[in-house]
Amino acid sequence: MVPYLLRRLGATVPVLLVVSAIVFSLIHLTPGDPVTIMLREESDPATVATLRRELGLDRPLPVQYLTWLGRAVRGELGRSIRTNQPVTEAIRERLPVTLALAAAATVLALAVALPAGILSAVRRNSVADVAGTLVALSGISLPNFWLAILLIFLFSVILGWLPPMGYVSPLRDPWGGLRSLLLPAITLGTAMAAIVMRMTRSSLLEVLQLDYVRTARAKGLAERPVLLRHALKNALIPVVTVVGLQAGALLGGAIITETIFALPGVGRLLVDAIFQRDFPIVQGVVLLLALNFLLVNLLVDVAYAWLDPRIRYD
Amino acid sequence: MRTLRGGLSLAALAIALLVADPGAAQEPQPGGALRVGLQGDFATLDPHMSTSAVDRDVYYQLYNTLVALDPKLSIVPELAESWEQPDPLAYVFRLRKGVKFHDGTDFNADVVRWNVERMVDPATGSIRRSELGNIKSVDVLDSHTVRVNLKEPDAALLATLTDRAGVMVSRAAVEKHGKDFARNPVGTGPFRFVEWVKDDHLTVKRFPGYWKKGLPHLDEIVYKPIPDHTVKLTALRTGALDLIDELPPKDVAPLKANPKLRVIETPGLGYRRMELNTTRPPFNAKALRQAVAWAVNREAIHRAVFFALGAPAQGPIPPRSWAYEALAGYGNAPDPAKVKQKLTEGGQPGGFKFTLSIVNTPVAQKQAQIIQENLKRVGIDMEIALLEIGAWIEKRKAGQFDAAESLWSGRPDPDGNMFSHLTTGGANNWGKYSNPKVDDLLHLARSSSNQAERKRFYTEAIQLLIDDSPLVFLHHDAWTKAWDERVQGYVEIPDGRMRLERVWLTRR
Repeated sequence: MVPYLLRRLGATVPVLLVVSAIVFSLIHLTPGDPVTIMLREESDPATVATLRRELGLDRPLPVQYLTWLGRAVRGELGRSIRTNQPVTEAIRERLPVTLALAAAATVLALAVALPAGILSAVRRNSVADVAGTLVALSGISLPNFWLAILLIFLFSVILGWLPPMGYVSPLRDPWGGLRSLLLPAITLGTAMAAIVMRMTRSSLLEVLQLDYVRTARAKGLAERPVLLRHALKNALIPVVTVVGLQAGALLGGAIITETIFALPGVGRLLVDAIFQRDFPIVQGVVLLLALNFLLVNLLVDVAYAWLDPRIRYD
Repeated sequence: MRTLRGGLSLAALAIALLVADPGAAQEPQPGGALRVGLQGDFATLDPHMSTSAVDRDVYYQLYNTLVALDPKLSIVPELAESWEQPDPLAYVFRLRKGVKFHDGTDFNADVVRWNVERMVDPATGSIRRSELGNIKSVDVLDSHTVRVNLKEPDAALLATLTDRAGVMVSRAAVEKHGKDFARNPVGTGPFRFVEWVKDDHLTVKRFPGYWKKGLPHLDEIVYKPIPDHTVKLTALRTGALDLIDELPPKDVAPLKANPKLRVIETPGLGYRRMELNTTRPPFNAKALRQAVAWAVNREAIHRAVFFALGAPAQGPIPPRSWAYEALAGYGNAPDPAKVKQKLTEGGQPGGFKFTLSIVNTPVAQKQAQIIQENLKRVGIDMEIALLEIGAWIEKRKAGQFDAAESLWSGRPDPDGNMFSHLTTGGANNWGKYSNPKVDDLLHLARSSSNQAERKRFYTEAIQLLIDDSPLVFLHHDAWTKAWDERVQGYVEIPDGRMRLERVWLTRR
């Protein structure tokens, strides 16, 4: 297992290199450089030249990339073009918000989706199954910005229970933090819940028809242990894959959710940076997102081995 | 009887005022925290580097300018107590004594000279350099008197100094923090900086040593950037915010109906326009530019896009300016007969085709769709290119466009709305328009210090512009803000930026 993990971790390095090169080229190919965007209405040539030189934008692209890479290897991701804040500091400030949001959304999604999926599979074609399918379908179809507005309207405007925006750190104020995260977590988690629920249902249905389940029932086991100990664990493998892949979608969704609920997370940092062509921030955040995606998928692979001991990584 | 009626109506008015605004009769109450919701977050807290208008909403709290604007757009004293012009190429400013920066350093003539030199020095990379490009040097006459020497006469200089170019920052703080001054601002304003967590909040606290005695009234202001309009409005309605800016035009009427809120709309200083590229077909032909200008239904745009807030535009000067003159231009309704004649004159009797580049915002899109429909009726086929802001700026810069829609935020002096946009080679003259007569008139208006004379020059120039149509004027947008009824004492200056030193809150 350990050599496998080391191998996998080692493999992330070339992937990150490729990602950083692609992002670097793409953002430099996008029309509009930071100086033009920053200067907007003004365009005194001497000022433009000074700023471009100061930011190193007057040098050839490969040189700019290698300089950036050289620093990045040493853990230095540069400074924001706009505020001069170190990129690592900007990310460190924002990351807890996005992590808290993603964690809350995942917990919420799984807490709803797993029981609902199991229930749908066991009571196939019952009223509960049909209702679950309907809810799941709307969960997948509802765009999350629309869902967010509906939630705000119901819980903030009509009922007045929850704040419509803003972030309170759950570490500083657990109750306030929970309240500030609830609506964003529902917004972000709904699509995930719907997908996980559908996947749990179909996967469990398939497993329940396998021979070993029949054997387990034949030897007189009660339905509960058959379901939870024998069937569910095997049925979870595709579910875990889906949850892992959703981690990527979650970060994409976090960009929209953070913008609507005015949460100071990594997603909003990225969007603002793209609009302002704040290259160092964009590079840093995308690198972090790529790294996160790789790590989550590594975790997923490790989880396979735990769920199904026949899967080995040697 | 007359007097009695007069007395009665006065009493009625007084009662009406009391009922409408119970706070108006009270003395300002000190204390409290004001929560302000803004559309976007601040880009930088260094005014000499700022290019986004929203930055100014916090600058007027942290800093003071040399001179200021009053609600009627007149220039009034601020850090400069008085000024005079001994000759057309010089201004002498007498500075206020006893003014301290938040870091305890003194505000004096040396600091003023250092501030101007910081902005003008190319090594600083300041955006203000072009605004103050006309300043040759600054002489310190004594500890609190400076003389600003100009290269050419400049009637708009004082107006420029009411904006970021007139903001005085602490020299000691800039020397201490260097580039990080952008996150550690130190000024002489009514509030001092506390903290800024980007995209979350910015907090300022009352500065006890403020030179205007008894001000500010508030203890604290917390700014929150909220990009989503609906969420921002909800936050105001549910009491999570006290004051918000930039209401979408469609939401203004419903907000006004809410008895717990106050809504204001002030005619702005800027204008929306279509920039036509005069260097290539089709718009190198004056008649075709005119055809478009006379085909647009400004009234429809005013009503459908802006819900009748602001005013349709016939020129670059907003109706509230001293330089405004109602001219017989293209009018607010289209003139199909004139368009037909112009199309024939331009050699395209059957109409022609062009592309309008716009920034991808709901207002610009809606407006472009109306123009597209207007032009279709007279046989002109306009395609709309929706661009991200960066791409749009590049296209205009490179001159690779037929027509581009843009919003100029506006300046208090008409010079700021015209000179760089319409003179040959001007920095904002993206359509490369050139008319020596217009150049002359705008130079004359800039160098004259007689307001009546300046107005005549501007009026004459605008008449030429309407005929040449390098810009198709569309709309003067209004500034909108809304606040909770607890907020008192807000005075709107026509540049639309928030000045909060006199604002106070009634107790709940």
